[in-house]
Amino acid sequence: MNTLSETPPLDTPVFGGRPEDAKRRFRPRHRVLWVDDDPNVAAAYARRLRRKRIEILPASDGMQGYWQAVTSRPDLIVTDLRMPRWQGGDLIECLRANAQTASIPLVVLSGYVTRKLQRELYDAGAASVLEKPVDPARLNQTLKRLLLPRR
Amino acid sequence: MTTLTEPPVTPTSLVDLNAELNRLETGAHAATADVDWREVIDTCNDAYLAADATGRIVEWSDQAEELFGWRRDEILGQSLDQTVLPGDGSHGQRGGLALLAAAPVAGERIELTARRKDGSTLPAEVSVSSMPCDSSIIFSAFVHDISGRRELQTQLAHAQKLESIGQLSAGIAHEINTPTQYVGDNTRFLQDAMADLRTMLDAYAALATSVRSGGDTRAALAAVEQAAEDADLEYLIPETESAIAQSLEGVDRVARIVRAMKEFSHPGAATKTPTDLAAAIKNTITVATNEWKYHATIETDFASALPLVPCLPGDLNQVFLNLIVNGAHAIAGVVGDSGDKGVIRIAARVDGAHAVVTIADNGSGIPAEIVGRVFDPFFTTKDVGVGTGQGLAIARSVVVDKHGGTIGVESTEGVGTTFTIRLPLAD
Repeated sequence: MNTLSETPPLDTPVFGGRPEDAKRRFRPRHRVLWVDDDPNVAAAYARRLRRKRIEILPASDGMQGYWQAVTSRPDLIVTDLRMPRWQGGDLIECLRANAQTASIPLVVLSGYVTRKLQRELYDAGAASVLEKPVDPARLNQTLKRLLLPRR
Repeated sequence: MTTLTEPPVTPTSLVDLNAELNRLETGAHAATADVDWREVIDTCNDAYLAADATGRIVEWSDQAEELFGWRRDEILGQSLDQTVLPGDGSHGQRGGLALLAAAPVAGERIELTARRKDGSTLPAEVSVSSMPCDSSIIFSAFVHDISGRRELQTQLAHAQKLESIGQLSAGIAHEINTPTQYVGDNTRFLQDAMADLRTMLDAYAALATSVRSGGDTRAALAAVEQAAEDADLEYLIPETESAIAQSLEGVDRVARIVRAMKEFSHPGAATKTPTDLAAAIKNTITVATNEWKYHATIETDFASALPLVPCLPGDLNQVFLNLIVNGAHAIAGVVGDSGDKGVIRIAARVDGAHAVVTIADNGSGIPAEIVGRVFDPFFTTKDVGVGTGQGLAIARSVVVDKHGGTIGVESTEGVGTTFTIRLPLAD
């Protein structure tokens, strides 16, 4: 993502234009807040979803995620559970308690989810609870289902 | 303590006691001589045997016949070290009479490994007494079979190992599933990117054909430019490079943790093996990553000339794991969810004939009044269901009983705790 703001080298090929063009050409239809303490997870998904005109806003822990949710009002939030500072559970609790964020659909995507935890998360208001590595078709369907009614 | 409940000694009862003593010392002498000691010994639950000063067996009870398999008539006159107490090089146990004579005080129990007639080993608890007999000395011993207890100890240690592996598995799943997730996503991105690049290469090929044939190249050039525009090269090229780099990073992470798990569990290593302690500790740190990474950083300091240490790697890894997880919990108790992190310092060095490993945390510390009990089995301050109170008891058993080493703890409440393990360098 950083590469978008870098100055182009002098020998930049004409094909494809300047980095600014790449940024300008990307007009997202949806914005998804992706909360995971491993930045590689959101980065990889951002690459995949760009084609579907979905922009990923990354956050690295629950507290940062909450701040992002309040200030940028994404269409959807995907969150991990185990993270430093606020964990996923704390984030869900705060999002649900805040009228500005309470209606944003929320997907949990974690490395380890027990049955019991899954029930608790649905009770807390998660729209979907998935385990990494998630079947890509299933995640796509989930995102589609949760994003479409909003536009 | 029982004395508190005994009736007070009154003058009357004292008189009675004196009378009883007199009776025993004089007239009743003949009666005591009638006691059939052989029957007493044969009805005792423990096996009884006696040996003379040269180590020859001179007494052998019915229970001894049953426990060891030798009949009385075939073993009397044989020497201890040829039969029930052979020397054992691998356990460093001396054989024969030397073993019995090593008993510290009469009546105090020693644990040793004896041998049955069929060659099988018998973990036993023995109480020895010596008595003068005709200008020589007789050693008599009651032998109690403790194989059941040993079996339970082994099962308990195994249960604790399973418990901690169960606890670890959630963390390991997280550590493996996260990279697997993004390696998959990146690979699918690369698949899409490859399709775009192929479209571009096809356009270039058409352009080359057009140049070679000397025709109008403007349409072909326009097609190349359009393909490049569609592929969004300014985005595609650097992101492709990042996707490849991050995928390799993820694959390395999975490989590292799987390798560490394999090294950690060490199945089948039942005998002492020369072991690289630094590597063993690093593996354990990797396996337990998810247990400490949210609350602590780990600093290691391993002496460069650390020799291989003879040990049971699987058991010792369990000890390191228990101490690292304890340290992380002690720190989590202080920093909570603040995002601050404590430090666990792990050092290994040589001190004389020992390898010394210290594991220090700057967590909550252990209150002075309970620090002396932390190695006791079932002692725990954690909530019910969080710990069985076996971790440190097993650490003590592994280090002291299985390796002949020592384990100690120093702690200051509010400052932190340091565990020090000393392992002999010579087996």
